[in-house]
Amino acid sequence: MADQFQEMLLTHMPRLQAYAVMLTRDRAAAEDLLQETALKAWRAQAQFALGTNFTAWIYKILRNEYISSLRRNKRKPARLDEVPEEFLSRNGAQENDILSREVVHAMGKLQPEQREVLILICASGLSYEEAAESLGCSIGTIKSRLWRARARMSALVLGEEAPKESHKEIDDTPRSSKSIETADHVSWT
Amino acid sequence: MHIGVVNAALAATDDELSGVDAHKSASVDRLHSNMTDKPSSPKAETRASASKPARLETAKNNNPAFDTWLEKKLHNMFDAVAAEPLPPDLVKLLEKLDQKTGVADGDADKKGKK
Repeated sequence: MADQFQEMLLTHMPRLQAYAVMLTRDRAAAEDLLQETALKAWRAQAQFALGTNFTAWIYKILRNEYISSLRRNKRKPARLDEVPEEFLSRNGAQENDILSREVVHAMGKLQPEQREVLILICASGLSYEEAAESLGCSIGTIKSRLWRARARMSALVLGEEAPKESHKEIDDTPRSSKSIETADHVSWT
Repeated sequence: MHIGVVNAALAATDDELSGVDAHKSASVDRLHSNMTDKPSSPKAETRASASKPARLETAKNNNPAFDTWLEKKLHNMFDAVAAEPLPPDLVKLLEKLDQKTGVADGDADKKGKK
């Protein structure tokens, strides 16, 4: 069990690194967050039941740690105009063009919960089920947030008109799981 | 990287970005044109709009081509960071945890044999 757990933890580390960098937009903060996540997961391994979804479980730990760090340090993540080019990639392996920066800037203008879903689903490739489990909300909420996030991104990047708020977002997120909205809302602006 | 170097690089980038607004605009235009399935003629345009379901008319933000492009872009950004080596301090921590796991497994084996 311990060996299997360790293996899963190691396998997920590169993806967690990318998730941490995209969440914090700060390399040093992402490193701290990764270490805290690894330690927390290792200590909590007895609570993880083999056969359940490890990805959702470990992403949830990282996210909770991120929220805690924001509250603990009252730290403001890097402002978008302070985000260095290397935020996108250190090795320059990807296309670091103007539109990529435009995407990063546009993401900063999203509501925190919309940005989060975009990172989990579009960037990280989590399934709706995994994203819902890691955020503690329903698949319907995930789909609704994703739809809004994509529409807003389209408006920001292409200069199209943003969609009208014609219907209320389905939001069945438990109160305790909404903390990123309040913790993040202040600090990302 | 030293913060001064980063700031200098950012200042240069800002200058560069302000200088290339036209390029950005052109890039977005290209993106637009790649995503828009424009009819080849006015007649085709009429046919296209006539046959377009009302659902698509109202869902202005429903842009599958943009969604695909965005997903690919974000995925590439994510993959590029995921492909980087893990920070040395984290590697050390993981090695320590691995050793502890090995010790814990060894203890469990011993207890099992007893």
